[in-house]
Formats: sequence, structure tokens, C-alpha cells
Amino acid sequence: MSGSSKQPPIYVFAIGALGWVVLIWLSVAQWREGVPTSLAWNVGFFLALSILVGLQPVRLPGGGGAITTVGFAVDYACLLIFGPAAAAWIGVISFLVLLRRSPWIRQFFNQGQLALSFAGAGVAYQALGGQYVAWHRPVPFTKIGLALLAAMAVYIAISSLLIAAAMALHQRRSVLGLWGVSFRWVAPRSMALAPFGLLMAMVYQTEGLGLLAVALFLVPLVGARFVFKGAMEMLDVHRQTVWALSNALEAFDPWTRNHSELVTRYALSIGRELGLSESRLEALEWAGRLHDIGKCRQDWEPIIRKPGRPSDQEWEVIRQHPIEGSRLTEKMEFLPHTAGMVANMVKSHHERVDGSGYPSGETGDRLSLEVKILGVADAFEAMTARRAYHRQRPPEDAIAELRRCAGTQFDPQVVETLAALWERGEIQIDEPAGYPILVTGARSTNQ
Amino acid sequence: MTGRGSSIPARLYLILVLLLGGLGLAWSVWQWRWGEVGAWPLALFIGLAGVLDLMVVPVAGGGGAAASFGVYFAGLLVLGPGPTACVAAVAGLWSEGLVRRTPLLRTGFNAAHSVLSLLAAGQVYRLLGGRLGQVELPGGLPAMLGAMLALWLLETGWVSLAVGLERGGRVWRRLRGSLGPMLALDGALAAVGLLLALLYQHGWHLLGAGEGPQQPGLQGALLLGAVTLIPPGLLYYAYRLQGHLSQVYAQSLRTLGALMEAKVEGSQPGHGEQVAALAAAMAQALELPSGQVDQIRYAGYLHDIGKVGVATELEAGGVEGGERRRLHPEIGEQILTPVEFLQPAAQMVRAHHERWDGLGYPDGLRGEQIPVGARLLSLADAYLSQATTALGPDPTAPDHLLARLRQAAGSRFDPKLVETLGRLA
Repeated sequence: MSGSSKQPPIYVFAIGALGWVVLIWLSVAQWREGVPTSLAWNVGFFLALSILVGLQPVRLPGGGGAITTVGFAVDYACLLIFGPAAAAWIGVISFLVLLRRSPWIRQFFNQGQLALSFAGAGVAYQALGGQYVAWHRPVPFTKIGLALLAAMAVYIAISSLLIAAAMALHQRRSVLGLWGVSFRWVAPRSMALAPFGLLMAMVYQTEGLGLLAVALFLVPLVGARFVFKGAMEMLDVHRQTVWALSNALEAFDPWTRNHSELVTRYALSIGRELGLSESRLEALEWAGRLHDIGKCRQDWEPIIRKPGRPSDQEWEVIRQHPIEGSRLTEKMEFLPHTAGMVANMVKSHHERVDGSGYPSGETGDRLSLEVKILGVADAFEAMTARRAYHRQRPPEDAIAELRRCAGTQFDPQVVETLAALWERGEIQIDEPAGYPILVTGARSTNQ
Repeated sequence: MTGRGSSIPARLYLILVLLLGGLGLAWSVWQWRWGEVGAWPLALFIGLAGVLDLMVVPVAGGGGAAASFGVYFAGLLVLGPGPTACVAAVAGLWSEGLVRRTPLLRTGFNAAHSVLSLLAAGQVYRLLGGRLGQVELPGGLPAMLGAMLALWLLETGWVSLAVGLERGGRVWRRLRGSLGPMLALDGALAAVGLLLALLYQHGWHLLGAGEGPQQPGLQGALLLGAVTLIPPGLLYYAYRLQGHLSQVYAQSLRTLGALMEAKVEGSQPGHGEQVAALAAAMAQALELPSGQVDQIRYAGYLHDIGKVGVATELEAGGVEGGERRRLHPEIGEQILTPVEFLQPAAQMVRAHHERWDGLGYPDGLRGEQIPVGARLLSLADAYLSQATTALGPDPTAPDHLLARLRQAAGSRFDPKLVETLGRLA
């Protein structure tokens, strides 16, 4: 939300101010009702907890570098235990610590946004008969399921709406559209975390237990988070390794150098323009990097490297490479949200819209958008790069050729997207820097 | 860890533990004072243990640990050792015998060692002044800690001994290797157990259960179930995910290493995989830490990937034919440069043509300067290259090959490692 304009946008400022007004009003109302002093320790405990879980976010794959924290579980527990005013204060103070490096306007907005979300959730919760543990111990949670759900839903809805609106104003996009996107992202994660918040509140209110029990409850969760973080790092290592090795496989072959790198670049540009979700883009990236890996077979090397048009027999072999490639990639992917997607894309990246492609001759209606994107990116790269049986063509010619074959070989929408990107100058066909190994390896022998 | 094919001492040990456990169980039933532990709590503990027994996390050093540790720990505190031993026997027989279909002897052994550990840990709890059914903090902490440590030590010990007897190697080393990871896991699970014990004591008659202290209300039951099942379940899921990822990782390296091999003329298909297996086996025999063994295995898959660059290097010009093979360790290392995690393996790839006497390449390292992984790789590489070029399968071949490697001990190879290979081959 760092604005491109110099002065802070009115909307962002207004939300911050409104939030603070509501927070102070809620606090005063709460104060008049009376606050037990014994609560101070407990609020302090949850404040420390809230800061602690915010400090080390886990980076999820597929979220496009999205960060998830278990903060919502603590927020929700605070709401159920202390009510909206104290919960909002806990959140605001932990934001002061966690966001201390952000611009003040951003902090101000987030504080206001948090207070408004808690206030709305509190209203919904109380309207449906919800009670707060700190004032009405013990609360029969099993009998107020609706209030629990409503509090969660209202909190998520308000929070995602306010954030989406700020982003929409900044990027000049539709508020409702962005709200949909951010709600779809936030809602499932929060719903998975809410039960932990509820459990914390239930453990907390059990007589004779309180904070100690909450702490015990958190120990294995912290352990699980630690292990989970290690697993997520392993995912990153795996990605780096596969890409380093598949790059090297291509880099030393003058016919294929940089091919996959460029195909991936084009495919991702098209996919982003067509609005693919982050997890589909990630699968597309894997498929782009690995789509030709099936060509790496010793007995096929001479055929694939041979200059000139391949003979019919040789074509038969070449037509097998998508199947071989999908067999290989199947073993390398393991992300739950891309399971099978990469292997499928690799398998069908030579299919054509009219069904004349290989290996299985599927028609366009049975091919996924990603496969069509990959096909266009692959063909564009093949035409514009130096290759065994083609000379390099100017990109304009390549696009004209793609347009000529749109509807038979390629998907027209994808071709037009690529053409539009090219006209806007958002496609670069220059090759990435060469592989450093060639230079360094030769130099070290001269010593 | 199947019963079949295991050595006679291992079988004797399993049977001995089984018999002792049976005696312990019989004693527990004999000592049981009926009415002291109600049917409801017993059913609850059996149910919880039965579910969590199914979640087995593999542990470094062999064997696995079930997520039910916390439930047994709680049982020890609130039900007492005898009834908890019975819970463990029932839940263990159910989860292993009926659901997972573990062989009979193993199932019996696992149930029996749990019974024995629980009875012993119960004694420790009593000796340290812990009182049954009265979990109090912080006064009861020393006794609880003692019981937990006893349970952890015994449970790890029984299994390490079994694995040690079956697979050979020094039992003590194996035990030491798995104690640390087990303590981390069991400690986290014991926290759940303590919470279960506290809830059982204070919260069992929570809301809506006016009918007496032994009858759980809906909320109490939901809470108990959720609190004791969800955190261990999540922990189990995270461990499983991690294990799965490292398997896929090794698999990807194997696949890509094999693809690299395929691009190099005259290379033996499967050579990288064989070198990885032999070098890792030697590293295990030397009892190197498991992280290092993994890196050695990865380096084995990839040790010759630099050869893929050698042909291009020639075309790029300037390098003499005789020199070209000598480039591949460096090229291999540089291919792996972008991957921080693989740097130990990359160093092994770079040094796998160094010689013990310092006459190797590319850096002319000598003796202990060469990473131990690289020394293992070079030995495994030499052994397997000779083995595959020998004519036909010859039963005397290993001895013959070893004799030739022994001649090069001290010049090409590390003499100690040659002896290790001799014991393995």
C-alpha cells in the first residue's frame, strides 16, 4: 500500500481514524462496565503470544511467496476470551512491534482495520448470544455454535474487504473483484485456524487450568510449526536443485541452451495476463522448466541432435518424448496442490487444438488452459531462437505464423494474449546470461 | 524390521521381552482394584491411544515413535501404571495387529515393551513422591519429569536394542543417535499428556455434566478429544510431510543424475546410483552422522554430472584432449553452486578424483584434507568401475577386486576406508 502518489490516500487515512474512534469508544464502554484487574496478566500473556506467532511467519509454496501466520488463531481466542476492545488492543500493540519498520500510514491503516474487524465480529457474536470468557466464565461454547461462526465470518469479511478496497484504490481495479480474490485466499486459512482459537478459549476457561494449560496446548503446535517450516524449506531446496540440474542438462547442449528458461518466461507472462491463480502459475513454471526433459535419453540423443528434418522413423521416437517426460516429472512433484498437474502438462504440451497433435490427439476442449499456453510459448520460442532445423525468425513473423495457425494448432485467445504482450513490449526474447561454468571451467585449467 | 530373516539373538530378545511383558500384564490385571477406574475413562484412554498409536513417526537410527506417548504419560499420572499398561496392551494389539497387520512377534514385542516401560515408569513416579490422580503444579513437577524421562529412556532403549540386534552395529551408538530426536518428540507429546491429565482431573465434569464426576458432558468430551488428538495429529502430519519430502528429494536427484549419465557417451547406466548406495553404506558402517550420510548419497548420484559439460568444453575450444576428463569434477561442483543446501555434496563432487598421496586433481589435496565423503566416493567409484568391467559374474571377483584396491591403499585410497570396504564387500 505504499502509494505512488505522495500524500496518503484519503480512504486509507479515514479507515485508520474511524478504527481508532471505534476502539476508544469500545474501550470506554468496557471501562464503565468494569474491568477485573486480575485480567492484566492474562492479557499480557496473550499479547506476548500474539507477538511471538507474528515474528516467524511460514512461507507457503504456491501462494506466490504468500506468508501465513497462525495469528488468526490467537486473534480469535482473544476475542472469545476478552471481547473486542481488549482483543483489538492486543492486536494493535503487537502490530506496533511487528510492523515497526513500515510507513506510519500503513501502520495506522492496519490498526484501524483491525479495530473495525474486531468491533464488527463482537457485534455479530453478542447479537447471536455469544459471551466472553473473562466476564461470563464459563461459557457454554457448544450451545452458541452460530455465534462462533458469525464472529469468524464477520471478522474475515470486514478485514478482507477493507484491505481489498485499499489495494483496489491504489491499483485502480474493482473493489469487489479484489475482495473476491482476497476472501478466497484468507477464508479457508482462517477457518482452519479458528478451531485452535476456540480450543485455546475452552482450555483457558476450564476451572483450575487457565494460562498454564493454554501454554501446554501450544507446545506441540509450536513443535509442529517448527517441523513444518523445515519441510517448507526442503520444498525450496528441491525446487532450486531440480532447476539447477535441468538448466545444466540444457546448458551444455548448443541446440537447447536456454530453451526451457525462455519458454517458462513466455508461459508465465501469458498465464499472468490471463489471470491464472498462483498455484496454477507455479505448476506452469515447473512444466515449463521440465517440458522437454523426456528428450534426455541416451538412445535418442543422436536423433534429437541431428540437423535437418527428421525421418518418419525418427519422428516416431520424438513423438514419445512427452510421455517419457511425464513419467519422469511424475516422480519429481509432490506439492498437494499441483499433484499430477505438471506431469499432465508435460504429457500434452504437443497436443493441438484441432486434435492433430501428439501423443494422444486430444482436441482443444479437453486441453487445459495451461497446456495451450505452454504450446504457444514453446512454438514461439522455437521460431524465434536458433534451432537445428529452423533459422531464427523475427518475432513479428513468429506471431503472424502463430495467428495463421490459431484455431487449428493453437488456442486463439492465448495467441492474441501473447501478441498483445509483445506489442506492449512485455515480452523479451533476448537470451539470459550464458552458463558461467563454461568460462570458469576453462580458465582454471590454464592456471 | 520384520520378524523374518532376523538373527537368532534378535529373535531371542524379542521373545524374552514378550514373555516379560506378558508377566507384567498378568500382574497388572491381578493387582487391579475394580471400581477404582471406571469404564468411561478406560474407554476414553483406549480410544485416544488406539487412534494415536496409528500415527507412527520414523525416527533417526531406525524404528519409529507413536504419537500416543502423551496419552500413556497422562494415564500413568491419573489412572496408574497397571490400568495404563492394560490400555497400552489393548490399543497396541488393536492398532498394530488388526489395523497395520504387523507380524505377530513384532506386535507382541511392541505391546510388551510398552507394558514394561509403563510399569517401571510408574515405580519411578511413586518413588519420586508422585501421587496417583493428584496432578499438581508446580509441586508434582519433579516426579512427573522423572516419570516422563524414564518412559522416554525405556521406550527408546527397547526399540534401539531390537534394531541394533537386527541390523548389527553398536547398540549404544544407535541409542545415542535416536535419544535426542525422541526427546524432542516425546517432550512435545508429554505436554499434551499433562494437559490431558489436568483436564481429566479438573475439566472432566465440565459444563452440562451435572450427573457426577465420572460422566463427561458433550463439551468436556469434545474438548478432551480435540486437545489430545489435534496437536499430536498435526505434529505427525508435519513429520510425515518432512519425511516424504526428503524421499522425493533423493528420488529427484537420482532421476536427474541418471539423465545426466544418459547424456554422456560411454557411461554405465545406473553407475551413479550404485556409487551412491555403496558410499552411503560405507558411511553408515563408519557411523557418520545421518545428515552427512545423506549428503554422501546425493554426491554419489551426481558425482559425474560434470561430464555433461566436458564435450561442450572441447567445442568451446582451447582445452587439450587429455585434459578434458580432468575438468569434470570442477564443472560438477559449479552446476551445484546455486543450491546452498547441497554445498557439502558439491565439495565431495569436486574432490572425488583427489588421491590420498596428493597426486590427484583438481586441487592436489592429500590425506585428511580430502573430505571423507569424497574419499568414500572415489573408493566406491573405483570398486564399481572395476566390478562392471570385469568379465562375467565371478564369485571370486570381490576378493580379487579388493586385493587390487588394497594395493592402492595409501597411494590412491585412504587405507582405513579400504578396510571398511573389505568388511562390507
